[in-house]
Amino acid sequence: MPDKIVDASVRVNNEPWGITPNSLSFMEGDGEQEMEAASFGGGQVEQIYSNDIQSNFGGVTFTVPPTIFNIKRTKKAKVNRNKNVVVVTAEDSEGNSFTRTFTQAAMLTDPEKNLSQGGVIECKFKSNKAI
Amino acid sequence: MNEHMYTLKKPLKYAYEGDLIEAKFIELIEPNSRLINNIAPVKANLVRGISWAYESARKIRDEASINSLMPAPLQEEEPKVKEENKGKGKIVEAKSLSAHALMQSLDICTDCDTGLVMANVMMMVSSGCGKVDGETRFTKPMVAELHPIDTIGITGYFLENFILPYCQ
Repeated sequence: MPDKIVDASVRVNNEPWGITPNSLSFMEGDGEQEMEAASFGGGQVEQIYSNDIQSNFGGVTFTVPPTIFNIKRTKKAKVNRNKNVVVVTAEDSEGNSFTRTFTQAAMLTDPEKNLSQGGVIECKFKSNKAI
Repeated sequence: MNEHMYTLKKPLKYAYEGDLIEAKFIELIEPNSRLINNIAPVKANLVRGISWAYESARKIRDEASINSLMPAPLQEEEPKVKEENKGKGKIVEAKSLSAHALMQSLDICTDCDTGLVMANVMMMVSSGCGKVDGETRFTKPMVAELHPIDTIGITGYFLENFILPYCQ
């Protein structure tokens, strides 16, 4: 019986990042689509399918503890503009694994660095479609 | 700073400037005393391996009197001794043994731990003694993705260029 993936690893620019448990999520970048109808009359309807290519971006979101090391490297990732690469890897107890690579990833929002007990730094990357 | 280049035999992908590209070579940099805890066991194993290999080769040659039975790299490389070192016992000149011969010496020596040597060398390479394509830091996840043939090759290259000169 396969189990939930709750223990994935994250690498940013070839370096492993220690993330807050249960904080990781990602989007494949398959985007959003719409379905409209074209009517031929008499009840005949044809499906018009369209892809909103503007939404075809992948993304990764996770949080990291506010250590000095993490403060520096989130700043570095932000300054690096869209020249980051994020890789998410996970394996379950049966040996099944997956890897998703997000190229040209950028931190579009300015991450808030919460310096308190229980505080975190939120890292939100938007990137090319995951490969 | 002493640097050498190792050309990768199998593909290794890494992140560079926002893309995944294929690495061509690893630039190996000479370790300093910060990594002495890694250098020491590597040097010890290497000295044991070289001594064991030469003793074994000499015994085989004496017993069988057939040179062709010896592994080819050991057969080609007789230790070259400088004038000032003659008469001082068994001294192996640096650069007289290739990376391949050094790895073979470790493999055939029963007192050597090849795994320990490779682990320490890769620890040094991923702790500042290695750069991918001469530019990007060689990190621990990259070590995990290396093909074994390159792990062995990098270890041999590292031993030949940075550890063997200390074994005199």
